[in-house]
Amino acid sequence: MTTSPSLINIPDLAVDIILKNVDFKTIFSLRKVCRPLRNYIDKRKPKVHINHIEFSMTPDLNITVKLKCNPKNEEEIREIVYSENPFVSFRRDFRIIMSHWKNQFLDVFKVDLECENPDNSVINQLFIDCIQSTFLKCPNNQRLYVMTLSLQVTNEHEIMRLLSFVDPNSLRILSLFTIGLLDLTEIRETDQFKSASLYISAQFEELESMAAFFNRSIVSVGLVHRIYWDQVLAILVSFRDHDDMQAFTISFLHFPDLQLFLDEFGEAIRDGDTSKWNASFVNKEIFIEVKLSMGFVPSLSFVRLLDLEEGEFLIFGDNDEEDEGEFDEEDEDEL
Amino acid sequence: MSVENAPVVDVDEAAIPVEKKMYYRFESNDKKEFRVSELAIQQSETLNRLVEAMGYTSEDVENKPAIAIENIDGKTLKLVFQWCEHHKGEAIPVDDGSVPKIVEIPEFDAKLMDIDNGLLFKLIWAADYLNIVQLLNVSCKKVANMAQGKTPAQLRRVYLLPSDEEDEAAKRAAQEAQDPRAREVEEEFEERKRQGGNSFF
Repeated sequence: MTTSPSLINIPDLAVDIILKNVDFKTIFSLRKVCRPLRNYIDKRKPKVHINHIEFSMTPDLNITVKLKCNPKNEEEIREIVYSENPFVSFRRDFRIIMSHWKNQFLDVFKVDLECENPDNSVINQLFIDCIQSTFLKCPNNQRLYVMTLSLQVTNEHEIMRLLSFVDPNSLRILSLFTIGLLDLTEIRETDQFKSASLYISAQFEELESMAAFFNRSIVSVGLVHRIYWDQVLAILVSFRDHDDMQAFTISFLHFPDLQLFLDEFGEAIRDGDTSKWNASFVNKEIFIEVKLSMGFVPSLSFVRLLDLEEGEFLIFGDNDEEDEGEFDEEDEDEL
Repeated sequence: MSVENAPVVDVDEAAIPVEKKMYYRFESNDKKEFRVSELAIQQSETLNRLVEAMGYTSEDVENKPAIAIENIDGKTLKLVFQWCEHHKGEAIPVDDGSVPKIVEIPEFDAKLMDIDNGLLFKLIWAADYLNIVQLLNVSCKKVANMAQGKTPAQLRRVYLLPSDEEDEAAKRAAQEAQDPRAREVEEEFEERKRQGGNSFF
């Protein structure tokens, strides 16, 4: 012990224990204290436990990175805001974060880019390039294991690029937000789209290929310009055919078959703008609550009821031979 | 220094040989002597191996010179042995390197480590040198707690660390101090300044 010990000349093991006991933001700060610490941290790459990564960019191009990195404190989110040379600083830090981050399973990965101004799409591309190039440098070139992926971006191309970083098997919730019309043609073919619960906030002229939305726990889709009766029926039948389906909500502007819907569903339990029915299928222990809300943005929601509640049920036929659910004979006669 | 003249610091006074226990004698680099129980020594893998290898009898312990620990001063060693006595008999944690252990600092340890940073880092150094796993854990935890959430500038203040610029300046100064030519130039410069200064009066 020739010189008096300090943080930069205590044994490596001690520094490692200290680095294990601080959160990532502190590791970041320690890196910036002086060159010996920076060199040490970059060499040792202390493992950081991040279970939540959130990027956002404001219209004036401030970049914020939120990291939930303390597994002991669920509420604690560390936030780094970049306002000076945001892009360069973010790029540098993000690369460091990823080089230290060996625990590749995330609860949440959220990218919230400025999507109101189409002029920003170039910046968005740069931002996504940066994320992509960093992921490509991850050990073993692995894809991101994430349970909840939330993307607020400009268009389907950006969604496709970001989806490609994610391992489809780990994904449980996919949340997509765009301002304008969204073309799902390519997205719905991806494995990432196929099994996760969906929360899609975007505009669609019509929902094509309804089947692409089924066989998952929760689906929320808005805003669809037009919805049709046969689509409503398809949603109902999907609850019969897919045990996993728990809830399906769809917001719409026009429902040309509304009268047909109301005629078929008959008298409702009303609560303000909302009408409610209970539906079931012949010979099936399946009970679905159907709600039609005619508020500012009309919506239809379907929720699987776990217990049989008292009240009247609208019984749908259970024709296994037919593709789509049909009504029982009595209903058909009425039609 | 003879054994009789050495200042003896009994770390665990209450437990002094009421029963027949072996107390080893250690000496710091500033010639402070400590008596430490056999059980307390087991907290330090290094010392435990050392005493096992020496195979001292009770008489040897009293008659032979105290075991010298040349790298650690008395102030630090006192803290180390106080810690070992308090935690004697406790299981030594094994780090399998999997998940970071959640280290809580017990009240006794917190009081013990209510010391200035210089001494705290000496304690860490000693805990590592003597291989006292849990003391190393808690002392490092204390440093980590102090660092948590601080900016680089605050960290420099807390740990008295130079920034890169200061470090560079210090290095340059050190190099210049070692370079005889630089020293000559410096002296000449001072001399001229003095002469120039004098000419004003």
